[in-house]
Amino acid sequence: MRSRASFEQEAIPHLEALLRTAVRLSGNRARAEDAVQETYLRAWRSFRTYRPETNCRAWLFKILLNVLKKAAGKQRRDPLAEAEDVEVSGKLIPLFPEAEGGNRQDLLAAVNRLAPEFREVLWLVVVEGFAYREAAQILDIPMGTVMSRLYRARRELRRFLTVPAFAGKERSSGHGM
Amino acid sequence: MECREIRKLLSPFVDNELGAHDAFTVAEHLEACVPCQREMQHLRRLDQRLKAAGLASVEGVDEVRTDILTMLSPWVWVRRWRGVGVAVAALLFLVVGRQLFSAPADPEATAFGEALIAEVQLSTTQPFSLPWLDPHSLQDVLHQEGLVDLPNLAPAGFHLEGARICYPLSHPFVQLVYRNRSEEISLFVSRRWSRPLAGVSKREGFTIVPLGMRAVFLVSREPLDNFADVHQLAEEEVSALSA
Repeated sequence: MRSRASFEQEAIPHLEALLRTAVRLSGNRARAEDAVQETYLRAWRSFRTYRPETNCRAWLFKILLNVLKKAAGKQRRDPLAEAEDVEVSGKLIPLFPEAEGGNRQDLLAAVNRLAPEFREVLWLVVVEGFAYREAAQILDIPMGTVMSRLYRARRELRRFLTVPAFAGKERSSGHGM
Repeated sequence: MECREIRKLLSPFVDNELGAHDAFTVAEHLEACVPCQREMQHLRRLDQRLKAAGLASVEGVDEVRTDILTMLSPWVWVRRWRGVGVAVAALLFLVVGRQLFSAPADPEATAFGEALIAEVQLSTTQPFSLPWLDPHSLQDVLHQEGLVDLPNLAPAGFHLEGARICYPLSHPFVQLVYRNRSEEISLFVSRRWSRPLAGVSKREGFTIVPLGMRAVFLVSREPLDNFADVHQLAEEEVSALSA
């Protein structure tokens, strides 16, 4: 059986990545903290079966994604509808901020307008730096699906960044996990 | 290969996820195609922006870390037990004598409710007279009541911290304490409920009494043989209290 000290050494360093991912994918800080706590609780409970060769970071992210999806299912409503930090304005969001005065919040707002299956794969690969194979394992989908979702996610993101943001509010689906 | 086909490969190309053959094909095309070069540059710049924005530090990491480390330290046996799937239910029951709860006008019910509320409020600062149940005692109670295989009662985001017998009015109840980062919720469970408490909500045979913002008093008038419903009801109650 592996010790708590070992768990802390291997799992806790990934806390910040898990928290920022949870915040972005859930759209709500409080739910994100709960999800991360639940993730660590589940991880700790199954840590006795953990093997040293396991990719701990990917393992924790897989648990987190499952926790977030389960929580979103229970809410039965769009989790982004009450997002604390997700703002979608009606102005044009520039593609290149250095040239057009955009900012980080605009970009993240555009990310949050993506359908959840696009947002999560984009986040895992581009922001968190997971390889396609790892993202496929975390999301439990084929690698080909990762590739196609990324292509569509990038295409959608560019569209959001170059058209009036309020158009995205007309989307009836796609938010939440 | 035409630009339209190449552009579909640009996404895995910038991620270094293309096979050698396709990567070579794309690279060869890019050398001769300015529009596709621009497209790839746009993709890369967008990725850089997104990564920089996404990796910006989040606030409160230290607090969350502290909470998690604290969460992992106590009651390890309870969590392990839950992990095995049994603790889940952790519900005990208890025998509430008879007629503990009565109609709204029943003075006994009012007295009981007030006493219980006072007890719950005290519980955050003062321990009950009985200690927390150890795993063996808890299992004995669960076996005795046929509750071993019940599903988890914990509301979403909460973990079971402990279980114990309490005596609000000299009648034993089982108190299950669930906790998340900022809240503590106690479920008081009885399988042998005889009469409803005044002013409580009753759904499908269950009686749920919210006590302030931090506790839920959950009682069944019938044998609790469907705890999935109890879980749902408790969660709804908690959500309502938190709203």
